Amino acid sequence: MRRLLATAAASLAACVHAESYQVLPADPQAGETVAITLSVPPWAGATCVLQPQLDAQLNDRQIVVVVDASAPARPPGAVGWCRGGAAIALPQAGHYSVRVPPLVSQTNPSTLTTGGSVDFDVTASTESPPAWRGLDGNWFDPAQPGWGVNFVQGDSGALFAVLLTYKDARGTDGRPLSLSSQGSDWLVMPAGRWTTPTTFRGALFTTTNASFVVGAGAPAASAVGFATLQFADASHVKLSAQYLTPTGAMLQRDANLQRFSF
Amino acid sequence: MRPASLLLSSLAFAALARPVAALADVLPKDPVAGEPVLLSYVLCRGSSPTGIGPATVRLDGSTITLTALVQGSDFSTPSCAYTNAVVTGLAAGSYDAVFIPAAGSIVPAGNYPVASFVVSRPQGDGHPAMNGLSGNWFDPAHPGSGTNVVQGDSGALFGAWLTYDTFNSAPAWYVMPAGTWVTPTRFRGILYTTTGTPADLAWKGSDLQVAPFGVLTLDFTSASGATFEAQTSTGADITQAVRRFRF
Repeated sequence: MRRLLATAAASLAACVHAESYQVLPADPQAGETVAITLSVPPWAGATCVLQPQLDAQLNDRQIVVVVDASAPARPPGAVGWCRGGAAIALPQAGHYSVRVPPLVSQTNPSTLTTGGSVDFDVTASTESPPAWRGLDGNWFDPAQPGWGVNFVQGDSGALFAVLLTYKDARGTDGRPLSLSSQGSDWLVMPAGRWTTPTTFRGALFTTTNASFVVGAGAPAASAVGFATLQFADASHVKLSAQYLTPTGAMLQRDANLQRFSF
Repeated sequence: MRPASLLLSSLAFAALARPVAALADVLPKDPVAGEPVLLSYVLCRGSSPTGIGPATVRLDGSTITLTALVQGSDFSTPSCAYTNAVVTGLAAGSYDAVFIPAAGSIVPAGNYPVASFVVSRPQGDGHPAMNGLSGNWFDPAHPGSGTNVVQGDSGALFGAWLTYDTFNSAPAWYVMPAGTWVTPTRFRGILYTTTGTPADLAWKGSDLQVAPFGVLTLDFTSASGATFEAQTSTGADITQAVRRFRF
């Protein structure tokens, strides 16, 4: 009986996981869209597969992050949420606070997270028109061929960027993967702002959808980070990206890229 | 040849003492002179497992010789293994492909006929009818995926297909780093899959592995509309009406 109680207590403990929240970028400006990221450390035996669909609602300068009612269940001990996030545009400068109530899956109420709060400041906008046009192309680090960033510059001057990269070294169960098991990965920055004539930045999203073999599915996007692009000229840029990997680890990537000409 | 066909072939070949090589696919189906061709071939034998190493390709006149190490152990279950090879420099004409097991292979030495195919003369002069095609192209019926196209000064296209893999619906990308304007409005090239150093580790060049995966074709109807087709060596054939995303 004592062993049973101990087991039950351990099971209850295993169902509640302290998560962490982060607002990116660290120095948001009025008019920018920030990413509010959720990281839940994987626990023993869990596999990080599901991503909660988070939504952020702004009321004055209070942001409430809620989980979408259609979010998948997080069965205890088997499949877990390890990362997620929401993006929200902040129209005004000032002091903001993010409140995240405990996240409860409708289909499995035992899979709650503890919730939390984050305070941050938004400064006045310094938005500027870009110094350059025609930045479309593939940008890469010549010392690291095999990954890179693609930019498309719209008529507005804004950039649409795709980070073409690879998954991290651990599988979704937290165990190391062999190289042959690691595949490609891409993250998208569909919008952003020129905060100076040479610096463009925006929230990074990861998406999931049905395999190309299956055909059309329902795409889902989660804000998992933020990227800053500092152009030295029309052919050289410094990438600084911070994003959550599928296992919930926050990754910082910095690279000096140049445009690939052909 | 599709996976189901591979299984049937495996069973059919089970009783054969001599391995059988066969062409699983030639991509594109209608190659033209000057463009690379992806040969996907299969080797079946009455033991298992069988693996084929990376192939070397030699073109001698109208004969294409594929050489690779065939590995395996003698178990009773029959099986087939397949691999891909890219052959370049083909002029218009008819070709015969043969497979020669590399020294050390578990199958007997010899020439194993694979298949024959025809390479046609290209239409046009290899130049595009349109320029300024760089951008993100997607099918409105399939939001969340698409192809990024960069058109170089040469007029050639570099494509990155942004999609999702068969495991876990996770993001995956495939790249067409080069190709050929087989007509003034049709660009086609080999699609590759890449594997590199995990994002959370320091980049190591030796980790980069690039393997042919299929063929990507873009048929442009205008500077903002096209038909996208991805044919993979695993048998998938995805066709979408795509348009350029404007913003």
